[in-house]
Amino acid sequence: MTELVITVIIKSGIAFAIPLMIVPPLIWAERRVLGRIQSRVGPNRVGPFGLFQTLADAIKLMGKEDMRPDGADRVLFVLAPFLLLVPSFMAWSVVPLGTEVEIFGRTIGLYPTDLNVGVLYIVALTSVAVYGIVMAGWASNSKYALLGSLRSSAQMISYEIMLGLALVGVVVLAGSLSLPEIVRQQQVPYAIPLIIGAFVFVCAALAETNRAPFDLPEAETELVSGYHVEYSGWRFSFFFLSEYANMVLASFLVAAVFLGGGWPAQFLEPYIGHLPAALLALVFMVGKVFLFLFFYFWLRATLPRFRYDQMMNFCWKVLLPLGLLNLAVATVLKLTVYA
Amino acid sequence: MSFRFGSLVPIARGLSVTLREFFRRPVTIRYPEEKRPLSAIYRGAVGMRRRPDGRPKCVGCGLCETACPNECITITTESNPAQPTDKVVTSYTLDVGRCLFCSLCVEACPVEALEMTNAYDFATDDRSTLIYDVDRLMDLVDKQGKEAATLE
Repeated sequence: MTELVITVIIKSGIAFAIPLMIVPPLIWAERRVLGRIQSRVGPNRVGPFGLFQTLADAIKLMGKEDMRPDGADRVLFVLAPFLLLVPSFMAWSVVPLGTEVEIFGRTIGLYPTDLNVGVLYIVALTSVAVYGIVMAGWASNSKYALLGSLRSSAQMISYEIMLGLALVGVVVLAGSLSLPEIVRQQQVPYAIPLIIGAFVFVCAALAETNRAPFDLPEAETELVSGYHVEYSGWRFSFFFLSEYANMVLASFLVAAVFLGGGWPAQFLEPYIGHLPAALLALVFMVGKVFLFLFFYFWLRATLPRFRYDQMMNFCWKVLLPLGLLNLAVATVLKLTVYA
Repeated sequence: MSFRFGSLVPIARGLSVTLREFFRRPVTIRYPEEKRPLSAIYRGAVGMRRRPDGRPKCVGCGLCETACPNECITITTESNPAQPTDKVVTSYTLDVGRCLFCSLCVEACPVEALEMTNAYDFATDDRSTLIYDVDRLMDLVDKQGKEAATLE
């Protein structure tokens, strides 16, 4: 019993710590990568290689005055950042770092919980974030924030459907909604048979996390920003944190669901033993996550932003048919190759 | 469908360009840790040369003071009782904050006491420190000699 409690505490601690610990270096890494791509250096002053830059920025944000616009809806205004941040952290409770490991004679799953509706849970939680955006825009009592929140919520609601649709194909093939089970099922990463689904998922994930080229909610080059214009200081940092936590979450999902988690480490187990193979699987998993995060930065440095109508057209006229095609492919594969 | 898969080709091409840039060295020169090499004929602040015994080469004739269009050179002299043909320079100051690096003083000097050095980093938060006395002017020349030596 105590053993169970201890594992649960450790696991939930890790699940909470990963997004929290990874975000500051991630922001630093993004700025460095963007800098390199633009032939400059990026932040390199605070700490070794500028690693503490994000920390310094965070301290600066905490030191700012906590501003609330006149006539703002106090309750909603305060609640909105939390409504955005909390789901993006809650979603981590089902994200698998890998499958099971046997250590000291115990079998430990490298995931906080093996929820049998894990995929559904994640899709459900990402939709809660839309309420945070709507509330933030509405509560600010500012027409710009309101318009921004309309823009963003329309985008997120649309792309959520594509996110779910892309996952349906995976669920059909794996025959399970549990994320560790999906990872276990992948003898070949699903990105190969379901290449269309992977494309749809990546596009939807970019749009869902408000990243370039779908960063219309923020549009930092032309507009000040969208739904969170009226937020400053630590409240603003919550929006920022949730955006990056969602980015990491999306990367973990892509790595687990489409790139096969620790694949192909499990095939090495007969040769190098259980524990080294498990360790290797973890390394592969994390490596895939970081590759995908790099892909995020790389896209941001390359692509210009979509126009609003282009973005909506892309969602409904391109991704939706592709998603349905992906579902058809998955069904056919399930009845033939995967039967 | 308004979307053509051919439109993914330029995206891929763009991605390859940015990836190539990623592996290239940044063009940034991290001043003040790194400095851009100066041209051999770079014209920075005016410096004062030394005589073999270490004293300034200036004879106090005041021609540079007259030549200076910005009046940034100030010389005060005394007569030398032991050698009435010579003057003793009691102070020689040059206000770098007013200098326009025109080199007219260097050309005016009959004994080639002045030269244009390659010093350019005089930034300070107090203007009065920009008025260089003769020791600092001689330092500029000395430092330049050292830097030129390390460059070669």
